[in-house]
This record gives sequence, C-alpha cells and structure tokens, in this order.
Amino acid sequence: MVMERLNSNLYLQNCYIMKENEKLRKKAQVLNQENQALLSELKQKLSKANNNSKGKNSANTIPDLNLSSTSNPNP
Amino acid sequence: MMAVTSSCKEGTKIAMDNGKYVRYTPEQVEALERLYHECPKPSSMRRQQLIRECPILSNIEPKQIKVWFQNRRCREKQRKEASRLQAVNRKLTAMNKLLMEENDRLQKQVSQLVYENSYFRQQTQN
Repeated sequence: MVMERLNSNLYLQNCYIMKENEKLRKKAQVLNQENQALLSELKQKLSKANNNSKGKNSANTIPDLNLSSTSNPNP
Repeated sequence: MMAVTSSCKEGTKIAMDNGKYVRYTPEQVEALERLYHECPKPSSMRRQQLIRECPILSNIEPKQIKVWFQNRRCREKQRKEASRLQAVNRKLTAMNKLLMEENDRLQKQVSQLVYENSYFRQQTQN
C-alpha cells in the first residue's frame, strides 16, 4: 500500500514536471525569436552607424564607391 | 480428528490447530514447496495421493494441506504484485530523474536567453 502511494505521487509529479518543461520550451522558443530580432536590429543599427562615420572620416580605408563629389577617392 | 501438534514448530508457514497457530517443520515446508512448484493447484484426489506418497506430511490433516495450498497461492499473488509495484516504481523514479534534469537544463536556457534579451535591448538603446 505504501508502494502504491509512492508510485501515485511519483506519477503525478512526473506529469507536473512534464507540463512545466513544455512551458519552458515554449518560453525559450519565444525568447529566442525575440533575441534573433533584437540582434538583427542591433546589427542594422551598428552597420548604419558605421556607414555614417565612413563619409566623415577621411582615415577610413574602405573604398567609397559613391560617386558624390564630397567623397574622398582612395587609391 | 485434528492432528496433534503439542510442541511449538519451526518453519515459515503457519497453520491453525485447535484455535492455536502452529508452524510446520522445515522438512514439511520444503516438501510442500516442492509439491507446490510441481502443481500449484492440486485437486482433492491429488492431495490425498500426495499425503500417501509423502510420509513427512502424514501427520497433517488433509484439510490443513488444502488450506496450505490456498494460502501459498495467495502468497504467490502478493509476491507477484509487490514485484510489479517495485518495477513500476523503478521506472517512475528513472523518469522522474530525467524530467528533473531536463527541467534544470531548460531553466538555465531560459535564464540565459532572458539575460541576452536584456543585453540586446540595452545595446540597442545606446
């Protein structure tokens, strides 16, 4: 009788943990998607900032393919 | 007439005699167990034959032999059930361990993602 009680409790506990794990998996999925979005947003921002600084910085070694007269052609 | 069992007997199996609990001798129990494994549910005729063929059991009343076999079958059921419950318990315990480990891993994963999330937000605001 003790064993039956133990087994019942174990079974119930297992069901509970399974549900919890499922919730956690979903949460991880949502967070992961959010993080990917935030990361790409961050990358865009950084690359924009990088492009803005290219025009003003004459020491920039990356060739500027823009044919505008304000740009500095690099050898 | 009831079988006379005046002295206290050793052995693991118990019988009632004149309202008192008495045990069968180890030799008797050994013989009975052997017979049980040959045939767990002997007929009345078979039981009479067993007593005739086995002198160790001759001082046990036929009714008591019948009762012994009934109890023995009952004990077998109880043992099988206990065994089954133990096997179930082992499985549930193993499952429980796996689930807790998975739970732990997932909590850490979520924790890490929450941290990254707040970090990215912070960086974006800069």
